[in-house]
Parts: sequence; C-alpha cells; structure tokens
Amino acid sequence: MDGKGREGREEEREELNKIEMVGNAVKSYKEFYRKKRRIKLAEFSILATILIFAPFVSGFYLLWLITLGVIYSTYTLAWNWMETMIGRTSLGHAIPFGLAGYLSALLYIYTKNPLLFPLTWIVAGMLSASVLYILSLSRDRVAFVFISFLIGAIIWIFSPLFTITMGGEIYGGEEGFSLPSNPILVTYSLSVVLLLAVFLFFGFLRTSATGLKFTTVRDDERAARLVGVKVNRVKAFCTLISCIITALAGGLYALHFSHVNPEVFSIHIALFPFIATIFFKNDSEIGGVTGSFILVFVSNYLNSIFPQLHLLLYSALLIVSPGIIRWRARKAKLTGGV
Amino acid sequence: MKLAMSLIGDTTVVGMLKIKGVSKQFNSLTVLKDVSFNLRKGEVVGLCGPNGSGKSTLLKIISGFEKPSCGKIILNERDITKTPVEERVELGLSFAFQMPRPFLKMTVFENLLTGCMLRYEKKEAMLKAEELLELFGLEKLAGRKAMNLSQGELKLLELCRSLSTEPDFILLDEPFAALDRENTKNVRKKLKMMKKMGVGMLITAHKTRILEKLADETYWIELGKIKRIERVEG
Repeated sequence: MDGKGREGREEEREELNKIEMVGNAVKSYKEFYRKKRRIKLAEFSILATILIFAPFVSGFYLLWLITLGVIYSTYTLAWNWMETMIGRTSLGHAIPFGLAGYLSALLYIYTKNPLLFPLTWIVAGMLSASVLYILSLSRDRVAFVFISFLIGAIIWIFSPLFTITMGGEIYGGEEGFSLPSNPILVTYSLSVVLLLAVFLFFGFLRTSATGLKFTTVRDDERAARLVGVKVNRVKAFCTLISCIITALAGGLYALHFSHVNPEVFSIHIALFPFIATIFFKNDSEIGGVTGSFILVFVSNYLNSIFPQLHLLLYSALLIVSPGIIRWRARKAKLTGGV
Repeated sequence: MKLAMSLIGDTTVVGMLKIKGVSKQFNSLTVLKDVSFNLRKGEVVGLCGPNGSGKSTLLKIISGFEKPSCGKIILNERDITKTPVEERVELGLSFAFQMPRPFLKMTVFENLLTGCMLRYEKKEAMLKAEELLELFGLEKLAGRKAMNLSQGELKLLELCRSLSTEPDFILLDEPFAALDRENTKNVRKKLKMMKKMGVGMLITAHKTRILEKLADETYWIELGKIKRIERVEG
C-alpha cells in the first residue's frame, strides 16, 4: 500500500514536472518574444531620439550626410526584409530604387506637380515587385541572386539611352533628369518619418505570428507548404512591401539630390544593402541602420580622398563576406537555444 | 489519450483516401503503373519495395509535390488530383519527409507552432503545440533550435510537425531510415500512438518486417507496379 502510494506520488511528481517543463517552454517562448519586442522598442526609441535632435546639433553638410544615411538605412531595411522573410538575396533592388526617381522626374517634366511623386514611387515599387516576384517563383535561390543582378545591370547599361525631347530640348541620357530642389529639412523629415515607420513595422511583424509564418518560407519552402503556408502569396506580399519601401527610399534619394541619373541603377547601389548587413544579425533592424550609416560615412570620407575609392572598400568587404557569413552561421549554431 | 484525441478532433467521421489508377512517367521512363489502393482513417498501410521502385514518387504525387501522368487522388470524396500542397494540408493530408526538413533556424516549439497556427489563433495554437510537445516527449527540447537536434530528435520533430496540422491522413516516407535501434523503437511507438489517435497512415519502407504489427495492410511495389498484397494480422 505504502509502496503503491510512493509510486503514485512519484508518477504524480513526474507528471507535474512534465507540465512544469512544458509550461516553461511556452513561458520561455513568450518571455523571449516579449524581451525581443522590448529590445526593438528600446532601439527604436534611441534611434528616434537621435534623429529628432540631429538637425539641432548638425551643420548643413552633416545633416545632408545624415539624411543620406537615413535614406540608405530605409533601403537596407527593405532589402533585408525580403532576404530574411523569403530567403531571396536580391541584387536587383537598384531597380525600384532608381525607377522611383526616374518616374518622378518624368512626371515632373509633364505635370510640374511634385505632390504626385509618392504615386510614381508606388508605381515604381509595384512594377519592380512584379519582376522580382516572377523571379522568386523559382526555388533556385542562387539563380535569383544572379538574374536579379543581371536585370539591374541591363537597366543600368541602357538607361543612358533613355531620352525625351520636349519643346526642342533633350532631357535624360547620361546627364539624367532634374527634380525640384527642396529645403534640406523637408527631405530630412520625410526620410526620418519613413525610416521610423519602416523600423516599427518590420520590428513588429518580425515578432508576430504572421512573421513566424513568413520565415517558414525562408527556411524551407516545401516544408512551409506542409504547414499550410501559401508560399507564393507570402513571396508576393514580401516582395511587394520590400520593393515599395525601396522605391519610396529611391524617390527621396532623387529629391535629396534634386537630380536623377543612370548611376541610381549602378552596381554600388545594388550591392549597398548586402554590404551594410554583412556584420549584423539578419533579423536586426538596428544592425541594418548602423551598417548603412557606417558605410555612408566611410564611403563619403574615402571619396573625399580619391573619387570612387569607396568601391575598393566594397570589393574588400565582398571578398571577406563569405567568411563572415560562415562565421555568423557557426556562431548561431553554437549559441543553440532560443 | 484524452489529450491525444483533443488534438485530432472528431475521430468518428469515417474518412477515406483513394488512389485510383495513378501512373507517372518521366520522359520515356515509367515510374508508376496504374497504382490503386484505399486508405481509411485510423488505418495503417505499408508500402514496401526496393530503392527506385516508385515509393517516394507515389507519396510525392499523393501529397501534391508531383503531378501524376494519369489517375486520380480522392480525399474524403473530393478529387484533389490538381489541388496544391497547402490546400491538401488544409483538407487533412500531411506528409513527413524521409530526411527531416525542419525549419532549422526556429526552435522545436516554433516548428510545431507554425503547424498549429493553420487551424488555431496564436494563443490556442500555443496550447496545442504544448500538448504535442508532451505527447512526443519533446518538452526538454522545446527551446532548442532545430539545427542543433540529433537525427533521432529530428525524426520525432518531423513526425510531430506532420501531426500539428491535425490531419486525417499522414504520408510517411521511410520514417525508420537512418535511425538506430533505440530511435526506431521510439518512432514505432509514436506511430502506434498516432494510429490509436485515429490518423490514417501510409508508410513506406524497404522491408515488410519493419511494419509488422503496425500496418493493417502491406503492399509490395516494384518497378512502379503494386505486385503483391499481403494481409498482416494483428
């Protein structure tokens, strides 16, 4: 009787232990995501504070550079979203980035109405998204990298041929198109609002149930389909969001320079987000922003020493990138748990 | 068991998966020839045969990863021959790969959660994932990333995830492949448990012996043709 009682108690204890263990798993999962959200919110607050106070403590040139950093950061986050959600490394994101500026310039020539610019940016994003979405339908991820790059390169090569004649004057070509000039604070404010909104949106989505479903596509498309994820819809959504945000950043870039030329489709624009995120965790928004700012400032410094010197930095980083990516993967495997 | 039943829902509804005259050709190579059989809910059908006999191709066709050259797949009186994989999963058909394909960067718990979210809102899905962890004895691994699991643990996770979508039928492609004796025993135990839960299973294997006392019916497939049907008692 006594023995049975002890056995029963042991069974009961074991059962309780099991429940506690499961409870712990769920608890630690919830705790992990709560912590992740808190961290993202803290990062957001720091970034917002810095960006809000930046105009008060910066001179014109520094503010101009910071604005460029903000625009590139948004571009990097948009690019990184596609990479981390559906596992597609796009080297064709210069297409929405450049197209937005080009369409704005065209619209401006015909209508002289800058208020319609956001519309052209969205159109540019949608057009590019349709191309990249079709490419993403293939499960060959390596082919996606190279074909997206190829399409971007073709547009870059042939964009100087694009000219229009109006009132006896030729616009476009190597020189590109002009856009209306803006006070720096207008471009800065618009860029900051966009970056902060994107930062919050991605941060929230990444830590949500929807984000978890999306990441199944990144990890394994076949397995994702087996848990009922509509892979092609996820790809379409993520590509569209990524391209539209890239186009918004590209539109602001054109406004920032009051000018757009074939260089917006260039190889260094295409490679920028890839290089900016090499050293940071893939799912980290603050990593993308930090990387972009560092790259913008260092590139600018190098260019002041010798024109296009930043391309040497890009090349060096590209050469070491496979090693860094392998090191990061090893580190992720070693850190194991949640 | 009460817990197990709650995962599967109403087991009294009699479901049926019918494979009708399925053939598959890759160019001039015929992989499957006029394959037909039925699988009832709660029943286990074994499909044995040597390498290259067409077992995996048949499973891929039933799950929707491959298209048949001719023939039909009927799930609960509905023709699903042209239905995409994800819709088949919604209709109650699941698949477990021979080589486990978990979401490597996710934890074990998250792997299960993704499946549970097909039918439930996040809060309820978490409870279901919790039940599954307990059912498969994966509680200790809940917070571990799938990339850090052993082969045996991955196999269990694959099985568990295939159950997370609450299917009527699960297709298991060589669930005992690359497992040691201990893990084979464990997987077998879980398959028996799933059978008791009322899930219909189609299991492929090289030898019929491994499916003894588990399969209600065993088919022998060779050169794409079902050649021998044997009834395994018990």
